[in-house]
Amino acid sequence: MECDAARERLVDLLDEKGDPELRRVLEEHVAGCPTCRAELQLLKQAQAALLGSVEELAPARTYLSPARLRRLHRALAIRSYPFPSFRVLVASASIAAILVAGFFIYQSAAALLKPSVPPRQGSPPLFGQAGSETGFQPVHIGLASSPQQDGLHIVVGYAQPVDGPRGAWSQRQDATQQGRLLLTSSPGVDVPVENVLYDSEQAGYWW
Amino acid sequence: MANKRLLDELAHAHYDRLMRAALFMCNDPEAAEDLVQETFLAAITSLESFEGRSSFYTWLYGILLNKFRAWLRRKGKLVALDEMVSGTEEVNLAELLTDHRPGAPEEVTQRETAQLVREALDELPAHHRSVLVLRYIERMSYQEVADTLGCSLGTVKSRIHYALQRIAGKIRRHWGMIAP
Repeated sequence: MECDAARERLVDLLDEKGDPELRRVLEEHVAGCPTCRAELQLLKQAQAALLGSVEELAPARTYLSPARLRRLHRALAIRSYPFPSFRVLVASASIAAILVAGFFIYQSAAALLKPSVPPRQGSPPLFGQAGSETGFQPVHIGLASSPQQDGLHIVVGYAQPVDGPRGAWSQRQDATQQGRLLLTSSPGVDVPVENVLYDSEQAGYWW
Repeated sequence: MANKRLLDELAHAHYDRLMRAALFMCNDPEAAEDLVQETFLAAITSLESFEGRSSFYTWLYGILLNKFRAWLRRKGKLVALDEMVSGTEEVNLAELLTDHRPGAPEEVTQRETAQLVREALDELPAHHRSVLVLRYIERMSYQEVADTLGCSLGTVKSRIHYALQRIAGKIRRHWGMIAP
C-alpha cells in the first residue's frame, strides 16, 4: 500500500469493528513506515485523550430530574395551546382592555372635574311686554352658566320679530349685558330682557 | 394528554443519552437542556415524519443535531468547514510528528487534558462534533456512524481523522512540544 493511501486510512486501525483485511494491510505498512507509525501514534494519543475526557465533558448520569420533567411538560403545554397565535390574542385583548379602561377613566375624570353649576337663586327675570313696541315676539329662553365667566349668567335664547315671517328666528346669542339680551339675529337689534319670555320648562344649563 | 404521555415516554427513554450528546457538543448545561427540550417538542409535533428507516434514537439525534446547528448559528459560532480545512488554522502534521521535546501528554492531568479537548471540540464544525458523539459516546462503529448520519463511510473516517488531528495539535501546542 502506498504511503499516502495508508495515511488516509490510518483511522481504520482505531476501529476494532473495521475490515480485518484492511487492518492487516495497514498494520504491515505502518510497521515499515516511520512517518505513518508516528501519525498513528498521534491519532491514538488524541483518541485516548478524547476517551479519557468524555466523562468530564459529558458525564454519564441521570439528567431527567422531576424538575426537568415538569419543565418539559410546561413547554409542551405552551406549545400545544389550541390557539397558535395565543400571544397575539393576549396582547390584543390587553390593549383593548387598556383602551376601554382608559375611556371610562376619562369619562369619570371629566365628570368629576366638571364645575358644579351654581344654583339659580331668586325668581326668574321678569317677562312680558311682548308686542309691537319691540318688534319681537318673546319666545322661550334658556339660562346657562358659563364656568369661564365666573358666575355671569349667559342667556341663550331665540326671538322672533312680531311682524316677521314665521320661522325668522334669531340666531342663538351668546352673552348678555345687564338687563339686555343681545341677539345676533338678522335684524341685529337689542331686545330688552323684559320683552323676552322666560320659559322655565325650556330654561336650563346648557353647558 | 396523549402528547404528555408520549413526552414522558420519550423523556424516560432518551433524555439522558440526548443530554449527554448535547453537553458534549455545546459545552453549556443550560443550552444543552434547551436543545434536548426543543428536540422532544419537535419530535412530538413531527412524529408522523418518522418512517422507521432508522432507530428512533437516530431520528431524535438528527433533530438534536439540527437544533445544535441552529444554536451555533445563533451564537455566531458556526465555523465553515472550508475555512477549517484550507485556512491558516490547518494542522501542520509534519511539525507535530518531528518535534518531540520532553513533556509527554501522559503527564498532563486529566482535567487539563479535558480542557484542551474541550477547546479543540469548540473549534470544530457541528458535523465533526456529531461524528465524535456517535463514535466516542455512543461507541458506534464507523459504519454505524455513517448510517446514523446518512453520510458515506469515507466522510466519517475523514472527519474523525481531522478531529483527532485537531485535538492532538491542541494538546501538543499547549505543552510546548512544537513552536506556536
